[in-house]
Amino acid sequence: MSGMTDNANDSAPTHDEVMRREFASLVARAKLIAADMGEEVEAVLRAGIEQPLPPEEAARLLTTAVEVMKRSAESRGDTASRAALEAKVSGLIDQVISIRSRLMPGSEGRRRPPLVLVEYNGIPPKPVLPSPVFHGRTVHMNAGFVKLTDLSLWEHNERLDIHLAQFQQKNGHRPSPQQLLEIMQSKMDLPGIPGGDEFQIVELAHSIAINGVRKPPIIDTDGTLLDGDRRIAACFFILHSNDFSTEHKARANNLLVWQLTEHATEDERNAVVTSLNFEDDCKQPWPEYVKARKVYEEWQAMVMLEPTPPGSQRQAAMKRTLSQRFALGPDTTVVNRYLKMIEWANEFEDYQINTKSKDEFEVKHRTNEYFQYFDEIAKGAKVGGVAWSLGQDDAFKHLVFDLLYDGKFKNWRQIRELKVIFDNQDAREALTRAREERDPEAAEEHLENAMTLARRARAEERELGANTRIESFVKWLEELPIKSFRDTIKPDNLRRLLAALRLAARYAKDVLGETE
Amino acid sequence: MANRDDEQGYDDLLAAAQAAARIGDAPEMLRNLFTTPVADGLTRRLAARWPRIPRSVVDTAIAAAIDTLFVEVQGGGRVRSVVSFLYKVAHRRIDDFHRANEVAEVISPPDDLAGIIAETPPASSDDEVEAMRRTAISIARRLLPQLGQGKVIEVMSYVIDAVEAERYDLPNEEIGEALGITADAVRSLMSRGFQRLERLARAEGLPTSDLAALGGELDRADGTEEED
Repeated sequence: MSGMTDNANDSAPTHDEVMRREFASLVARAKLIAADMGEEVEAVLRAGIEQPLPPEEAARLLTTAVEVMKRSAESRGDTASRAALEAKVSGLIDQVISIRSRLMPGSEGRRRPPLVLVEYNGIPPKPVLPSPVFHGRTVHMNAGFVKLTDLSLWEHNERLDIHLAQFQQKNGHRPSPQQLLEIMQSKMDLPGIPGGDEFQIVELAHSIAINGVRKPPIIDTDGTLLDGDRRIAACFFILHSNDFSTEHKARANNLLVWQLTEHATEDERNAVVTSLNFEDDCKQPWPEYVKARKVYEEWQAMVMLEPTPPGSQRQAAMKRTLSQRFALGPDTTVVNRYLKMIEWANEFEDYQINTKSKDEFEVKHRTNEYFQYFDEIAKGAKVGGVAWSLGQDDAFKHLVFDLLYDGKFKNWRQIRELKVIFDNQDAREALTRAREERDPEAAEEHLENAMTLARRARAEERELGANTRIESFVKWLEELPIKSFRDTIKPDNLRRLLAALRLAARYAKDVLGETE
Repeated sequence: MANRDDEQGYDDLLAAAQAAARIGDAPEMLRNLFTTPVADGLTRRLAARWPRIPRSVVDTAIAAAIDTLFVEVQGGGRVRSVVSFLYKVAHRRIDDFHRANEVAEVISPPDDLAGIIAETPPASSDDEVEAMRRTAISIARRLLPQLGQGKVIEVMSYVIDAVEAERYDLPNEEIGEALGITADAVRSLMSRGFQRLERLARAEGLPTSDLAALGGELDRADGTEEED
């Protein structure tokens, strides 16, 4: 595959092809730097005036710019610029948002006032000591009580990425805090969401009613929740449900929280979120699809921040950084796995949304549900592997994507067998019947038939070729100069040869002993 | 649509952003820049152009472009149009992402070995990428004498030099001033130069059309029709 928009069906390009692309890229780059952008400049200004970014988006972009510039200044050794950005970031964002709300109609917005921690049951607010460490970074915090109703669920919570975007598309605006809560409590009707209590809020609510919230949720200075969205949703559930006593409700409504201090930096906020959602802490983690997409997006951003497209050596170093940034360990195995899985997930979504005209968010929910299968699909990019087989034939790949969307694959083994079905016409026909079959049991039967047909054919093929292969190998072995055993053949291969010959000798003697 | 006063106000703010960058005052540059609708418009235009890439990526591309502007101006560089510069750099950052994927496909072996190789990459891989880039530039230089009259060659040579120097923006006015011709003449000569370069490249088995889609406005900016 070659990225998000290019033809992903081809096998890996050859060196010559890359050279040709390099030249094409050179011409495109020359055109880009020399292009007369008069019309585009006007279009940019017009778009900016007619559709200004809402304050939170402008603040996010400005924050990204500050972070990128800080990183860049550090790499250049420009300590003055880095220090200036570090010192002024918070005031700068407030100032810019304030100016924009006056000058740019449509970008008005208000920043939430700080949320002050209070005393409860004789326990006053105080610093958390020792200061907790998140993702290797010490973050100073205060502990104290807040009213549950003063908290707002985190509207940028990546756990809810698909739900939030789906809501926005359906309703034309971001969900209100109440609607956010309904999403968390699975009370919102959004197509494609698996049924039931998706985030297991009810179970958690019963635990909190009895034991209280054992681990303090973490909030920003303005009360925005950074960690503990499920706990807060469960507390709201207790507050509004008739199943719980007044004592339970009081316990849920007066919450001990940890709060960032006013000096907290964006890096510290990110460390809290990363640490608590990527590092294993026996809680319900973000779905792997969400985590993988987050890693993928960060990877895209890192590549774009490179002055020139990075080669594999640089990419390896960047992946190590990425892995550490997301607490995925010192090696890059998980990062590599995530990147490949998301590439395939992108293809799957592209096909279902743009070719099959399925609803974007229903498709994303399916991707989330079956995300682990993309791991199996991504394996075997070399000839004869699963990824290679799917890349050879669009029709076959789409057939597999349809089966995946309809939930007809039952386990990873079936995905792995796709490589033997690929070049077997009968097996492919059985797979097509599985796609068209509406009855799940009958569909599964067709699918198993496809696997059986392919495996049987593969076994027969091996048997048919046995005599020719042995004749050819024996002839080659007999003609091999003796010195090759000493000078050419690696010791490992000699051992493998010896083991294979011993095994073959045993079977051959058995058979020949009976017949001779 | 902005009225003339607004436009003048934006121009002043963008000039103030450049002035701040020149003295190394990054927060002041950002304050001026974000008081105009430029960042908003860039976000809207780039997100519309690449609807499939995540918004965070668009944000990062624009952030990187702003950083590049700061470094360029702080280092004494001259940026004639801030908006054009930012657009081109952000565009290129997104393009680089696609290219990086392609390079990784060739240099890194597939499937289970990828993780191992990621840990112990071939020492020459980054050099290999650079070598390919230099080879592409030398091919372009070799084709230059066949582009026709002298001025076309001079303009295209100036462009290729700028690519080699990793320039992000090359206004026609700058080329015109350097070569003693008008910006309109540069535009016309460059258009012919690109058309002939692409034709020669195709004749040598070096297709250039697959990446032509990188910028519709670039093709429009070429202006003239292809000659036969």
